[in-house]
Amino acid sequence: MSPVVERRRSRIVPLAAGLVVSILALKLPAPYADAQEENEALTNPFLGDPAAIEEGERIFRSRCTGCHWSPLRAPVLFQSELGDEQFLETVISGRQGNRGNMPPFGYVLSPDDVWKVHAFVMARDRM
Amino acid sequence: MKCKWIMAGVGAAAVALAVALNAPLRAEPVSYDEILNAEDNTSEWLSYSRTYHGHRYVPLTQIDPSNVARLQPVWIFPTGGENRGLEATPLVHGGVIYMSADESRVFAIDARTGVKIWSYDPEVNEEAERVYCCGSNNRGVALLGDKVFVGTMDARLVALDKDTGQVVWDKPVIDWQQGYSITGAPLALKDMVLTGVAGGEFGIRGFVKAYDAETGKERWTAYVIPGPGEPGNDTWPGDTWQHGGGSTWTTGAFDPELNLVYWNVGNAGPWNCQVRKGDNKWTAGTVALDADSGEIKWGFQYTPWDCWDYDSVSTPVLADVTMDGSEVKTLLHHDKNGFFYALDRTNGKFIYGEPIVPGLNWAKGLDPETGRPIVNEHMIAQSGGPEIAPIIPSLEGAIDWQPLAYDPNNQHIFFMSNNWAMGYRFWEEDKIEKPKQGEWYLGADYQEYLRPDVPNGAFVAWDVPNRKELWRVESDQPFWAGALVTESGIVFTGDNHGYALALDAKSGKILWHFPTGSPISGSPVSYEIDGTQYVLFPSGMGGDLTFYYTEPKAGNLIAFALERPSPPTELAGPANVQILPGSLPEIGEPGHTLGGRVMEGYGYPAEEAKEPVKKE
Repeated sequence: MSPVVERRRSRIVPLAAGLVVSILALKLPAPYADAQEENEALTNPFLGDPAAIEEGERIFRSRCTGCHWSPLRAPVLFQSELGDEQFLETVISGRQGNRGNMPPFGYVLSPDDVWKVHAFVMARDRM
Repeated sequence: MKCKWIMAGVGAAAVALAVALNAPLRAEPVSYDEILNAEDNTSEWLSYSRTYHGHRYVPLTQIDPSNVARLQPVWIFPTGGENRGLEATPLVHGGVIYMSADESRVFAIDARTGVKIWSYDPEVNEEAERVYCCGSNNRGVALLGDKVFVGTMDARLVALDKDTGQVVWDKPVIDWQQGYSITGAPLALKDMVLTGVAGGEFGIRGFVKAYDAETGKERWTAYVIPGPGEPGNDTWPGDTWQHGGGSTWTTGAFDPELNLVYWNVGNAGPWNCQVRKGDNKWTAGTVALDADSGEIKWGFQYTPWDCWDYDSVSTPVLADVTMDGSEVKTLLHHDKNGFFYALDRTNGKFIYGEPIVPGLNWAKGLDPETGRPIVNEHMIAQSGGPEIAPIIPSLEGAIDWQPLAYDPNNQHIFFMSNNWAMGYRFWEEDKIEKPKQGEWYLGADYQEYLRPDVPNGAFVAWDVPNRKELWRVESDQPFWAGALVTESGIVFTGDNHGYALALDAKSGKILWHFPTGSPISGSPVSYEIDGTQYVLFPSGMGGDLTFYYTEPKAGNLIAFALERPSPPTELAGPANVQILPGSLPEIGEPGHTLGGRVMEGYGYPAEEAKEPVKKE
């Protein structure tokens, strides 16, 4: 089961919501638009895309590795059980965890960046 | 009757409050001379290490080995907050405790009663959290004049009015977005306040910066990684010096006679050392800075070409030690790398180094003349190569930032020295990107391991002139707290089970323990007020141990004494609970939701108006 995401008290949440809305409204890649219309959870359009996985690994190594890889300051994300949308929301907005706060990455990563990171962690075997 | 009793109680509380508040408000400014001569001032603790030479030795004897078992809590102050963890050393001046907590918050607390006088929250930029390597810890504040100084997680240095907590000045030390933060206590000396920076995992270039304490104007900056044209820059290939780490995330010591400030320097970056072959000066070492100019007078590296994240970050101890019949001005240091060192602090020359960690294997020993490690090449990982393990000690170190305590009478020093191992694996070099915006700059993965052969935690007493271990106390969990030693022969520290501990300085025997409920990651202090000797213990797990352990989130400062100074039935005054503004106004006063409009007719005695609330 996916862990419950606790949203932090946060100025970023509206911003993150804004970001998601903006990709829904402006960029309009088909999966987002469909999801909005049908009120379904967002899904990652980059899953399995080799170029996206490579870019996702690059971002992961520079932004996520200090906590989510071998130092394990935070949960292992490979083969994450978070749903796509929950993964996106958590990375953009951050969350309060048991071992400290996950910072909101919506300031420095675009939703597409986050999808690519997600594509990478889903393509990699769990350690 | 009941009503009268309450009113009497409120009156007594108000008087007690006035007494409690008046004392600190009359407190004098803290002069440089007072900090300089703090050694005999047993009623205060004016700077991070109590004195500039960093001994954490208190000439107090009320609590001694024969009676310490009676030590009991007098009050508890909770620091609350979103995170947890107290790594601070509380300061004490004029009957007021000044202590920092997570998220760089500061509290002023009445030292007799544990009642809050003021608190300050710098409202750290939430975004900055992505450049915290290891949590939002803060190790303390500095006092000088009428101000309290604190460094923040978003790399500001803030001066507060010590009596009110109001901001006097607030300066960005550097752009946090480049990976910098501040977790160490500032060091105030002369008319300046000095701070270092954290960020060794984010590709920073470390420095110590001095500010005019009064105005916040910058005085000097000492980069601890030399730039082009400066001695030592050639120990960095190419432009690797620009992102070479060398964070200065703890507090320095000061020798006023030599006019030198000693600051310890963190690991080299990135962790993958194969991309920065060379000694990488002055990372993983100590620098001696001219106090007036910041010029580096000398440097010494405990781990040149640091390939193991071996920060050198416990605050240096400056001790005049009798060696071979003469007095030597030493700098004493226990390093993450597992060796204990004595240097000549006048010139940085190596005197001796001894391995404290059993099974230490990254080095085969130290050169007896220079102290340079004889490195075990098998313990250096290769880019793209396999995991190298077990490396002893691990990057969590024998010791990390935790302050040592030094007894100058017996020339014994007391410190934690943990036993754990790690595996290290270096990434392929084409996967290591230089940081542009405060990204992680590691180029490596690690795994922390427990060792089956020795207990994880150790706390050691060391005879400095005779170069020998006196005793060690072991624990199944690492130690992560600072130390304190008293003239009466007690060493205070805490453990990761949450026990505040009093150890016999002669034997290491545990004379007293108290379960504080959360691991102790801060540093105990002791002082005497109104004839009572207090020991303060910050409790609440902070820093790296939160990667490996879970516990109830907590942050409490606990004051202990042999006797409670006032009878337990006598209330000290209003404690730390206050009415939220506007939530409980008196009738007729405006509140949160209504403007204080009350129905006409309210207030007549019931017998006169039949219906007390009535509108015609």
